[in-house]
Amino acid sequence: MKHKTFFWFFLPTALAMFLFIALPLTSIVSQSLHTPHDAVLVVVESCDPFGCKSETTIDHEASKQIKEEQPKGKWVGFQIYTDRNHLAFKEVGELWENKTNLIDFVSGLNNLPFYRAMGFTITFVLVVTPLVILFGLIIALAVNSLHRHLKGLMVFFSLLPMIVTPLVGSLILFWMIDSRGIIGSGLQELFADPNLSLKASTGLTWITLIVYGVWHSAPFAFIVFYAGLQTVPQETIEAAMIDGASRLQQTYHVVVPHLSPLVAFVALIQLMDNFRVFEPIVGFSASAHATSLSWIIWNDIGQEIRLMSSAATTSVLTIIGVIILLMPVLIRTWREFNPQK
Amino acid sequence: MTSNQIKRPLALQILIYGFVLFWFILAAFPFMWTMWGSFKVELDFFSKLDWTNVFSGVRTQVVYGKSFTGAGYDGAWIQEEFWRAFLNTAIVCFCTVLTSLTLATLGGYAFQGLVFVIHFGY
Repeated sequence: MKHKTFFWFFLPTALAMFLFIALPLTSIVSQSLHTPHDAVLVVVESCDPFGCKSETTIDHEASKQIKEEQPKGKWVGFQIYTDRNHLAFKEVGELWENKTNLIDFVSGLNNLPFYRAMGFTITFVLVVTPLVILFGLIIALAVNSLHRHLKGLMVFFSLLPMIVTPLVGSLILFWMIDSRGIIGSGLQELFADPNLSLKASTGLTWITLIVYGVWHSAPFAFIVFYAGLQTVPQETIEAAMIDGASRLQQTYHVVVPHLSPLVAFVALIQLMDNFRVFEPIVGFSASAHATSLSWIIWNDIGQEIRLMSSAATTSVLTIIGVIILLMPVLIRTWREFNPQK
Repeated sequence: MTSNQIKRPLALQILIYGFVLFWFILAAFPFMWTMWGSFKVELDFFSKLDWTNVFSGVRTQVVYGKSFTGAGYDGAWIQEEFWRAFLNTAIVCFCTVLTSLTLATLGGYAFQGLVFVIHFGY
């Protein structure tokens, strides 16, 4: 292909990438370095027969003008990154100075919004991702060995939790675990505790969200592995059988290695997706017990005074977090594509 | 000859079908339950008193005189104008798929060309 042809074929994609990736990224990075203007204050002296008083009022005209001249706000550099609502350098430093033991320090961190959100997000990512891969693999192996008339039906039903919008899926489960819903009242019956509620304690809420996460994402891992299972080389399986490998050994030594690039792919997508966990927190109304970075962003821009700079800063921190999280997988993929180096 | 054609031991067969059944219930039951409940009034769907109400539809019978009602659908689709949201979603969906598929096809074709250039030094 000539370079000119390549250019014309690639141009629409490049334009879209520039418009929808590069521009928004630049915008949030620059917004995160600015903060809203302070109101312009004027001191007005008013005199009456009882004496003169000076009064401080907001000059709305001047405030409006300065806002129009610099809509982004005033330049503060990395100040928002280090404030209490984000990385909280000062507060963390103080906690570290005043700590009596490590548990004390961790529970102190839990009071800072960013670290609180990170705590849940990291737990969610580290628990859900491996479970999704494991569960997806088991479902794929099981469905693949069904009678062929049942396969199509099971593939369809297996995909349901993924196809349905996350918000709707989490709402449906939320209704079921409600103390008047079928699972909620069932659990109350089972533990003979009429006050048992999955929404009341932090631990139970986290478990509920993690179960939801696995339920929602397992179909994705399943369908990827299921597609991979259709291309397992039969010759290798036969050779393994002739060598006397048991079913378990065949699965472990032939099927799983064949699927390993797909495992890397699912891990990559799942790490990224789970790090941005958001819908279940809203769907389960769980923000009192569990928050995530995406939830903080949504909370910031959903308020009456929209905290754009704060939201932008959290967005940049989320992107940095995703990059750090994906680094091992990305390096692995890079090595696979460049084996000679 | 595939490995599937060799007869599995019965225990393994039971394990596989048992697990698939378990997963089927896990994946499909919430949706079936919600679909069933959508034909009932809220007091039947969320019933603290007696969970079998959702099957017998006691409250639904009191309000509508029968065990099933389409009132929820009427309320959502017509009164709350869900059809409008549905139409909007359809438009967004169509445009997004069309645009991204077109761009990605062109870009993907270009990139396979690029890989070719690098590998074979055209």
